[in-house]
Amino acid sequence: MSIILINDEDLMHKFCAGDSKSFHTLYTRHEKPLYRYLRRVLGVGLVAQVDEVFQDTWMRLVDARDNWQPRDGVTFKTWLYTLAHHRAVDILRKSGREVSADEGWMDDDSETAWQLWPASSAEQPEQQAFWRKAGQQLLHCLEGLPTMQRAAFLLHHDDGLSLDEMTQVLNAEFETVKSRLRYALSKLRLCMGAHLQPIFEADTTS
Amino acid sequence: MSLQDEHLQQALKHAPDRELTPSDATRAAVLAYADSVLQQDSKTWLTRLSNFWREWFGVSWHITGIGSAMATVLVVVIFWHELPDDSMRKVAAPNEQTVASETVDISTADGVASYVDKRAAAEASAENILEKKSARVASPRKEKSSLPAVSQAPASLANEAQIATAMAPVPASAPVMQDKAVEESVPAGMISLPEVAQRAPKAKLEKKAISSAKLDGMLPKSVPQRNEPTNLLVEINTEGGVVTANKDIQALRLRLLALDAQSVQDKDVCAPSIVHPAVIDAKTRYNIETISVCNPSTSLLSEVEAYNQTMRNWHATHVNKQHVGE
Repeated sequence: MSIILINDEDLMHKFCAGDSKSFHTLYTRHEKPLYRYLRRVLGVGLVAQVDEVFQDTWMRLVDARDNWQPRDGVTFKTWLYTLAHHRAVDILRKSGREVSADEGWMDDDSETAWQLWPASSAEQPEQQAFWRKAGQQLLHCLEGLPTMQRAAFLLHHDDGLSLDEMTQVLNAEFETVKSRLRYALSKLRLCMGAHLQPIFEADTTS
Repeated sequence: MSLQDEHLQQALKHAPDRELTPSDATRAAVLAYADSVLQQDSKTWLTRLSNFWREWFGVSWHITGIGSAMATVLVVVIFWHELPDDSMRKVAAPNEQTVASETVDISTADGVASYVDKRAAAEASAENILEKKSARVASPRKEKSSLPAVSQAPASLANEAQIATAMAPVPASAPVMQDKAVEESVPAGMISLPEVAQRAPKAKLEKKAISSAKLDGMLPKSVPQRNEPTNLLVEINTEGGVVTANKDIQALRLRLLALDAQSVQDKDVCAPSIVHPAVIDAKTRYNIETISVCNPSTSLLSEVEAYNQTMRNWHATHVNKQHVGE
């Protein structure tokens, strides 16, 4: 039995033609990733605003359905995350939190620490526990990143957007997006290596 | 430096917020909003169409639709009632002459015989009118026929006019009353218009009875005239009441007779005459012609009674038949 998945663009076309079930499918498909993205971008300080931004994003998408036309490089997912990102930035600005704090290049001195981490494909119980701690630590490290770097990292690593797609979502030049992503990676590695290496060493010695 | 870090990506996948979802209320609000917008879209199409219609035709399309439906029903009803049938074609074929002859049929007793022959009826009615006019000129109108010899003609005319009025439907009586000769010859005791209206259905039944009788071959092509009371009584006395009544029935002189016996001393001239006003029989609705007679014989009284009985029998037979037929 083969399951034929209809892509987002076709579902959106059907929704624009009046098919409400297509919208339900789209929503179900993107509910968790989008909600997670907004929660991470907005951070712990604005966690109460996540649901509001999430709902407002979808409603804006519904309202602007007649203006949506798929073209090269612009997919439904790109459009959805663009709306969500802009709405999140608005909330951040209104809340007085910094939005664009691109800091200078920071050398990744802790890169050697990453060599000691278990393989990402490891499924041993101990390793799973390690990665759960790593995930929790990563969320903590993300809180310390500037908003644009955080968004670049999340869009690229969690939501799978390409650099070209990220330029549209973040409304920035390609090189700008690229540098933001580098900043994010460097800071996260540094943050993660400082906290996880002792745990890993303790786990491995035991 | 690579822009894709597998370790961070793996850590991200194991983050504790991985399965976070919006609240049920948020989810329901989003989906309900999308559904409501789609419903509004469908209504919007109707609204646009309605606005377009109103812009071009000046009224709402609902009103226009209702108006069109009502107009269609009206046209269908009109055409339904206007559809010609065979009976209408037969009526439409003869021209005004037919109408005139039918009017004469009802208004004059002489024209009844020409009910079969339309042309003869028209001619007979014309002659009859002339006779009435001449009779009116020859003898002035009298309230009571104290002079039987002189009042014979107008009395008979008045009597026939009463029959015609009683038998004719209301619209058909109009030409009769418009004829001044007939109108002036009608005595003061003539029945009123409301009574005529009451008798209209009755007259219609009589007319149908005549038609059925005509179909049965009862009516001759022509019927001899006999209107005078003297001749009537002589005929009853000689031929019998039954025979005379049958002749009158064939001539459609539907009436009942009553004899007003008087002594010879009361009258200067002892000759039969019709006494006015006439009385209407409650059962048959026929005029009861009261004829003043000097010293009637017993045989004449019995023959008159036979005459009346024959009339009643005919009425009971034919009018009841019409009732059953309807």
